[in-house]
Amino acid sequence: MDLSELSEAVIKGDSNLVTKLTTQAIEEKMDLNEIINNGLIAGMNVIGERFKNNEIFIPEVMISAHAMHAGMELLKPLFKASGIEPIGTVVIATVKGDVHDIGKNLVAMMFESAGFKVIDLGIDVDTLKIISAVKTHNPNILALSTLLTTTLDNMKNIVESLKTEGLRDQVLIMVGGAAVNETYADELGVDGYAKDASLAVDKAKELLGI
Amino acid sequence: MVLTEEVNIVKGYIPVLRSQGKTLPEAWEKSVLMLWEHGVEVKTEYDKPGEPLSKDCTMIMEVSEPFTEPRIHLAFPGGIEDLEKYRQEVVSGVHDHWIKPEEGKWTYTYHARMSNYKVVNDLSSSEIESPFPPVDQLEYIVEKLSKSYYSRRAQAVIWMPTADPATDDCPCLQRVWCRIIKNESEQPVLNMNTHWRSRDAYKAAFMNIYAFTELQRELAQRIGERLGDDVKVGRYVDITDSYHIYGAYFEEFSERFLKNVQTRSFEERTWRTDDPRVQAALEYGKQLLNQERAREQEENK
Repeated sequence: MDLSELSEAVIKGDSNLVTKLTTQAIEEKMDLNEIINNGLIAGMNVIGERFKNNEIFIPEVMISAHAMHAGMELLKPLFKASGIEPIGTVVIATVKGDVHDIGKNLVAMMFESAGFKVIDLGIDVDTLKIISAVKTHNPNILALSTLLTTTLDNMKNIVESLKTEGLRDQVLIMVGGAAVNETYADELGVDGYAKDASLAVDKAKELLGI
Repeated sequence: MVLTEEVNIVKGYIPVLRSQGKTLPEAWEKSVLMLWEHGVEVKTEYDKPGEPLSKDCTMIMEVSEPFTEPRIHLAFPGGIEDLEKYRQEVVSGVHDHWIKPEEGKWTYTYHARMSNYKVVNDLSSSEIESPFPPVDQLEYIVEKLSKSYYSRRAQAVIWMPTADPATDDCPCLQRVWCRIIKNESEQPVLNMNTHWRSRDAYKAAFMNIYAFTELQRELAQRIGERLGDDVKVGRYVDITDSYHIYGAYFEEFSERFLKNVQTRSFEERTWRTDDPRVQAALEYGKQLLNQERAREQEENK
């Protein structure tokens, strides 16, 4: 099977075709790394590049990401046996008091598309739950989002709580969302800020030295 | 690109622009291009230092056939599943339970104001009692137009003058007005106008018009059931006092939106809702709402 067909299906955002072709690739006992890198991620890389170059819109990225996800779901159960590891782990959440999830979901999709394992805690997530997730999953990156200026203090509470718990130095913190900017990120003392989803993964890779 | 015959820009006056289109994406796209071309530059309360002034106008947007495809313009900030979630928020009130100002959450939803309008003088808590019984204004519209289809009174108001001015995040939508006129075949046609105080033209207006035309369809269906007749969805008109593009978005607007308008065909920058990929994503939106409900029920146990 030609894996460029699979990457084309991801680019088109055709989940049904991605499912069919990924199944076929598994049945043909193709190397899982090749299916992922030359099929699914290759397609998403094209979409990511087009988005970064302002050639396409967000819904087009999301629909391709869903298609890639459909293929990944078929491959995940086979990862362990093949010794495939994610390039990093990200815990992501919209902070307490804020129920907006569009930007956070887009960033989560981008991370997953780049080969990260993503633990999405959802929206309106309280500090204790975030601290608990950092302890449980030991992520490389904690990504926090808020759209509202009224919930900015909750980001601060999370950073302070991580310090109190002695976890601050174990995880890189990235922040984003309409209420946040570079200056605020500096004030918070976090490790990274990305003004949009396309830049978040680049920033994370830069922080991790990947 | 010139989109209007002539716009007379007078210093001190807010330009009044009118965009017309057969479909939602056509009318919306024209509206933002007209605003970009002819809008007045103004400061807003949300500008950060160094950001350009916003572009602003009063906009009257008319969609003659809101359910003709394509219905989706791709320049909105989310996935197709988010359109479905927002549709259900407006039409069915799936997020009305997020009105919990005491927890720092919302003070209102459009659906709650339309279907369960409760006059209070303080929005700091959802527990504050209203001295009046709640009003289901959507039911009023349906009932009024079922009894007197030609009525001019079928409207729902959103603004609550007793409480909204004091809040940080007060409603943009002010009023929804509906009226039925019969067409040449004597079929009732539901016309709808929505009136907005203020609106982010680039990042919010498209999702709004998508969801509010879905509400128009829902109302037409409910009135039709009462009348025992097929009520057609008519034209949708959307009037905004301050229709704006924030200076903070100018870079993205010119580099992404304008670039796409210039380099891709209208068909390439819009999607039909009957596209199987769109259908699958809309279905995914429904699944996400079900998962959200299940998670919230679990957390509330």
